[in-house]
Amino acid sequence: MLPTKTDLAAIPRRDLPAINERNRFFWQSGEDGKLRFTHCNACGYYIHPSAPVCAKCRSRDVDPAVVSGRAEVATFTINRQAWQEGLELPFIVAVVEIEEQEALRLTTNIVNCGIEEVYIGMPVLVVFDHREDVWLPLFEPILKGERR
Amino acid sequence: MTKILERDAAITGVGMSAIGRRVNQPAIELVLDSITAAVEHAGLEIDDIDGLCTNPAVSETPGMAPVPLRDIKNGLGLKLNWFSSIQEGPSTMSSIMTAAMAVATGQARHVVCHRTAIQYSMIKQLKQDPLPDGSPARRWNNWQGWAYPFNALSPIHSHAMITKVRMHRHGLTREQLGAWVLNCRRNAQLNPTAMYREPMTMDDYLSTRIISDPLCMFDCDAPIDGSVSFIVSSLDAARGMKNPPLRIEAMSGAMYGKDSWDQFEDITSTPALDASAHLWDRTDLKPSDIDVANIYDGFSIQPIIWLEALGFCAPGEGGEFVASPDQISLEGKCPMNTGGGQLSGGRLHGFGLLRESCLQLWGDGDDRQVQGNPELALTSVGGGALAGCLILSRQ
Repeated sequence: MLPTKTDLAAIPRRDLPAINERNRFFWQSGEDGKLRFTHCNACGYYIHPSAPVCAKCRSRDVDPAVVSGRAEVATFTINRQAWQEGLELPFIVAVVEIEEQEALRLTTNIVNCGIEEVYIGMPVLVVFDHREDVWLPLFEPILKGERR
Repeated sequence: MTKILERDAAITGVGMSAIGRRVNQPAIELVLDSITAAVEHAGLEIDDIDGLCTNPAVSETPGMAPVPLRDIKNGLGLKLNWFSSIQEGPSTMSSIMTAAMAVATGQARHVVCHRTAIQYSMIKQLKQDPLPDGSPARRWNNWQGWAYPFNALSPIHSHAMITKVRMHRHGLTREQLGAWVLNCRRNAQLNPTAMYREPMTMDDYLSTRIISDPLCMFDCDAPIDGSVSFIVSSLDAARGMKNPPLRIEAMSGAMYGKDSWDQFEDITSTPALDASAHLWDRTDLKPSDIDVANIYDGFSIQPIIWLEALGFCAPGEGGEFVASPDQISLEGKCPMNTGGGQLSGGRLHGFGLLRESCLQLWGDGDDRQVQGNPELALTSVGGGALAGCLILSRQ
């Protein structure tokens, strides 16, 4: 059973990425519910953080491409320090590895998940948290037997 | 073989300002104090200084880089043949390495490299002046832009996550991290300028509050105000100076993987792997030749990463290595973080560690002096996407 859904909007977030022409597509990708990374049309490598050139084959033929949104928890930590006023403790910070490519990772939060339940290797799925002009990619557990 | 040109460079003096949390001095005064002390320690005059270097030039981290080079140059009326403020580079050590290249190529004879921070004062000030409710979010570039939006508001989170995956893969334990922390605290008790000097037991360590699991308060260094300056001289100029020259035997800031805090291919490590491999490529020395080492410990996990990368122990065995009593203690095979490290000494961004290496080689370690007249010292600096290291050899 999926734990009670977190009210994402209630999580205080006082810090957001500075949006520029190179990263806008990434931070606003969640507007249609999909996660995108810059992808090399020549060799298929995902380039993150985004760049106008592929670090593997040096092709300039690169474009944002939709990925499945599935990932695995590569590592995590339970934060117990109130770095800012209003932060609700504890919460999970994680690095997830995106299904499409080894070492393609995001630092993120795992939500809709008890702090005792998260583990290295846990399958997770993207869920977006809309703040100002940014859709933050967070991740929630994919439960056993659940087809997503 | 490649000519190892950094061997034409040497550290000839070091100076430190007042450091700590009750310093209460503007940053420019701290820099002036440490430069004046370093020049005097080297037996030079201010007018002998013809080079100036620092890293980073500016920083989004409050208090991290408070003094531009021009304020120092204009303030002291320096006549500089060469100067450089390095923004991107392999840790704060990049100023020493770049200065070494400047003196080895004859661009300058005596370069001042300073590291100055007023992080404690700035954090205190920001706490008194929080963002008002309802105001738009702060916006961040660089690594902060990939971490802060997720309330991963401190470098502790990425280091806690490296620790977690190392516990999972290698069986690293909190007691092993604690062994490093306790070694630092024992050494700090012998160092009058260290920040934290009260005795600490393993029980104290294990029972203190967790900040971001598995790292606790004692796994983190503390922000302070302070400045440290070095004189980097050409080896020719260094001969006959007041102190025996500490020649750079080898140095490296290599980075082969992605310049990123979370995209480095090996999630258990950092560019320390690359800098360490390149360092040993530049010398016939081996880790077992090193007499004293000061290894970056902004967080207790960092020395584990560095010591494996540097080959002091096998990959995955860093925890066992630091927990074995005959290795890193003042009486051990290679005494480490002999001044208390950053964990007990205070956060001087690696310059406190390099200073301690120099003091040990000059025999100025007082009550904490490593026995046996050490000649070779290794210093490594950096965590996250930053890594630089060098070996000093007393002439």
